Order: sequence, then structure tokens, then C-alpha cells
Amino acid sequence: MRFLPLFILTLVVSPPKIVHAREGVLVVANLADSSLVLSKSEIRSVFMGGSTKGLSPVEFVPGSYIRKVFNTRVIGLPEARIQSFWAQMRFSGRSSPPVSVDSIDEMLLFLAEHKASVGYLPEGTSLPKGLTVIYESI
Amino acid sequence: MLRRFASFFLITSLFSHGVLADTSNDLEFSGFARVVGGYLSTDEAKYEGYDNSFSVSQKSLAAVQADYTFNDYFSMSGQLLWHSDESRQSGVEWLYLTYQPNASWQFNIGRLRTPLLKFSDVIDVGFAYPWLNAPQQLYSGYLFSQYEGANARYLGYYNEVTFSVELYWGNFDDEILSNGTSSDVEVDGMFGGVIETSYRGFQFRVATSFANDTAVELDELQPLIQGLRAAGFGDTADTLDINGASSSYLLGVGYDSLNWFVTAEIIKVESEIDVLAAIDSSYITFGYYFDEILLHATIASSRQSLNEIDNPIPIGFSPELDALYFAVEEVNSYFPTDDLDSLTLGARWDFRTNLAFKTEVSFLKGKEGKTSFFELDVNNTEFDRRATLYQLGIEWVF
Repeated sequence: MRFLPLFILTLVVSPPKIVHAREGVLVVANLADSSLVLSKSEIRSVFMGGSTKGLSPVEFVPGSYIRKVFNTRVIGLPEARIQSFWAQMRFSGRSSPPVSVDSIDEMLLFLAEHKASVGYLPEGTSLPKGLTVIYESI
Repeated sequence: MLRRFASFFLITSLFSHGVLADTSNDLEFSGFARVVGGYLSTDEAKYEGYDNSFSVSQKSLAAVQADYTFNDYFSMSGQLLWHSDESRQSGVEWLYLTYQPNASWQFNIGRLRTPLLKFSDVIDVGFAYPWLNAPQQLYSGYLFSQYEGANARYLGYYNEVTFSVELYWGNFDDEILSNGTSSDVEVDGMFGGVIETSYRGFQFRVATSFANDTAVELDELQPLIQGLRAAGFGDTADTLDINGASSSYLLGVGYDSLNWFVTAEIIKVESEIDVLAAIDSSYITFGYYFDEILLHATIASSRQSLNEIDNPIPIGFSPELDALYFAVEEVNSYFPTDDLDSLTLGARWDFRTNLAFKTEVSFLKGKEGKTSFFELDVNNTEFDRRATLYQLGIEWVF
């Protein structure tokens, strides 16, 4: 019984804090065919170890604000759940998480240098030639 | 015990100092560790190894995984695991070769973990699931946790539905711990399959596992079996011979969203082995996220139907027959009867992207006269099979 107070304490400290990400996000790919458009669930599948549609995903490192927006608006899962998911995939030998980058400049560079790569950027980012928007969150 | 913890601290300190960090593009090291402490509210029995003194030596573990990529198609993975629980074997948990000809197909051969339940193949990776103690009614040691063989996986999609199919075949030869007693179990020809589909936040999973030729060696029973045969009770002796087939069927459903999830699994295990039993177990978990904090509740239940051994031995004719009669009666109470209902309330705080603190309390309600997953004397009528398990722990992946 001596652990019950600690258990209850754990539940009441750290008051709930819900993130409301209102910003938009662009999902962009380095593709020869600029007519490709994917649905939200298809993008989610590409970034969560499902069907890749021939694309190689690249994402921002955990903790970055644009990643939080992307998780909220597109993936639809909290960061903790995503990390749990990738632990399960990695240690069961199924798949590995996408390559990650630290900044928007790194993302643009990576996308430009890798054919069929797909990443995401804040709404309003000016895109260089060769990158195609395949999904835009509303 | 000291050696086990020395191994644990060695592996975790090597990682914390970056000694085993990624060494090249072809060879990658990763791993996981957990330190879990627990306390059971009763001194009449043990549950999951816990008794009414605080202990961190039941569930704590550390593992390191090495993945070597030969080329675009072939890779090799191995996982070494050190477990604090002396009833669990430490050593090579996984060791397999992977052939991945494209993004849809994957073939593995070697020592692999059985993928029956949603978290079966990562049951040691506590970071991957919400609880400290996955529902014991389903995730107990009855099932064959690993096998030596091969599997094939296919990942596909149709419109917005993603699906995966996995088939596996192999053999199992290991010790299984049940009701505090370990037995050598050998399975020749274990096979099964898993189909998983997901649509938006919904997941659906069906899985089966068949073990054609299961042989369990219980040395304690051999003198009794020989005595029964010598006294002319061959049919009774045959019922104690634990050889035969078993099959498991699983159905799982779930829904994940930004703020909450629900997941449920139900499993049915059938066996043609006379003294073993059919088991029906299920759980449902609901979780709600408050940013990095997850609160969750799980209701789990199991019902086991055990075949009583027919005891045709007359008593009162001779001391030898009386001894045989009472020995058969003793055996009748030896096999576990794991009827258990439980309610688990827990919290998980992901205070780093690779570190999570967890705490949970499980209210256990077994049935009188049954083992109910407790380690006890089944004839103990003093204990009402009710207890509360408190646990705290830290999960780490690296």
C-alpha cells in the first residue's frame, strides 16, 4: 500500500498540456512525375513503415516544431506513440524509422540530392525546382 | 544475481558512454533496457515472481542488438539479452539473416521470436507498449516465445488499406516456467501466420499458431507413470504422457488517435494433450494522452478448462495402491488452473524521446481452488486469490 500515494502523485503532477498545431504543412517529393498527389492516409503510411509507394521518407528530428505540426496534422499520433511504434518495428526486425534531419535547409538539400525522397516543410516555404508538393494539409 | 546485474550495468554503461555507438554505415548497434520494481500485497503467494517485499530482480533487463548490412538485399541481426530474472535464460535472443528483395517482401531465417500477439515479438522491449507488465493472462510463458526456423512477410496496400501477411515455420526447444515449475518443452514443426490490416487509425489483426508435436518432459512424473504401468493402470499413465498437438487463435482490434487509443486482443488456445487445457483469455486497454503523459486502464481475464485425470485406483486394498491413488490426486492439483480477472491502472511519462517512466497498479482477482497465475500451494484455502501488485519502472531504448 505504501506505493499508492506515489502512484496517485504521479497522476496529479504535470498538469495536462494539449498541443494545438494550427500551421499548415507541405509534403514534398523529388519526383520526375510532378502530377503525383497522395491522400493523408497514404502519406501516413509512407512515414509509418507501411506502403512506401516507391518513396523514401525523410523527417525532422524529434523535438522540432515542424515535426510536431506534421505529427498532429498528418500522422495523427503523439510523439510518444510514434517512438513506441518505431521501437517495436526496429526490435522486431520489421523496419527502421525514416532518415532524420535537423533543419529546413538540411531537408531541402537532402530532398534535392535524393531522387524519390519525400519530406515535409512548413506551409509557405519557397521550393526549389525539382520538388513537387504531393500533399498539403488543410 | 550479482553477475546478472553486473552484466546489466556493463551493457548500459557502454552505451551511455558511446562505446557501442554506431560504428559504421554497415554495422549499427542499438538496444534497450528496463529497470522495474514491484511489490505484491500478500505474503500467501507470489505473482510474476513478486512477493510482499520490494524487488527489482523480476523484470529488469538489458539487451544490445547488432545489425549488419551486407548489401541492398541481405543483412544480419543479432540480439543479446541479459535478464535479471533467474528463471529467464540470458543470451542470444535473436540471430537471423534477412533477405529483402524489394520494399514489399522480407524473408528471415535463424532464431526468431514468435509473432502471435500484438507485442509478442517485443515483449522484452517495454518501451514499445504502455504497461510495465503486459496482461499476464495472454502474455504469459505458456506460449512458445521463440523458434528456430524461417518466416516470410509481405507488405501491401489497396486504396487506403495497408496490410501485411506473415507466415512462419520452425522448431522450439526451451524451458517453460509455469506455476513456479520449469519443464523442458520440445516442439517439432511449429507454424503459423499473422494478417494485419490498418485503415486510418484502425488496426485489425488475426493470427494462428500450430504446434504439431509437442513433448513436455516433467521428470517428477516419471516414477508415477512407471508405477501406474506396473500396477496395470496403463490408461491413466497414458494421460500423464504430455505429447500432442496444440493450436492458438488470436483476434486483435485497435484504434489510435492523437489523444487516445483503445486496443483489445482475444486468444483461444486448444490442446489435445489430456492433462493440459483449453484457455480463453482477453484484454481491453484504453489510454488517454496528456501531451507526454499517458494514462491507461486495462481489464483482462482468462478462463482455463482443465481435463481432470480419471483416477480408477481403488483405495483401502494395499498401502502401495493407496500411495498411487493419492499421487494421482496430487497430480490433479499440480497442473495450473489460471482463471484470473484483473484491472490495471497505469501511467507512462515519456520525459525523453527514448526514456519513459512508468507506474502501475494491478488489482488481481483469482478463483479459490485455482492457481490463477499465482505461485502457491493450490490447496491453500487461507488465501482468497486476491492481491494487488504495485510497480514502478524506467524504460530505455538506445
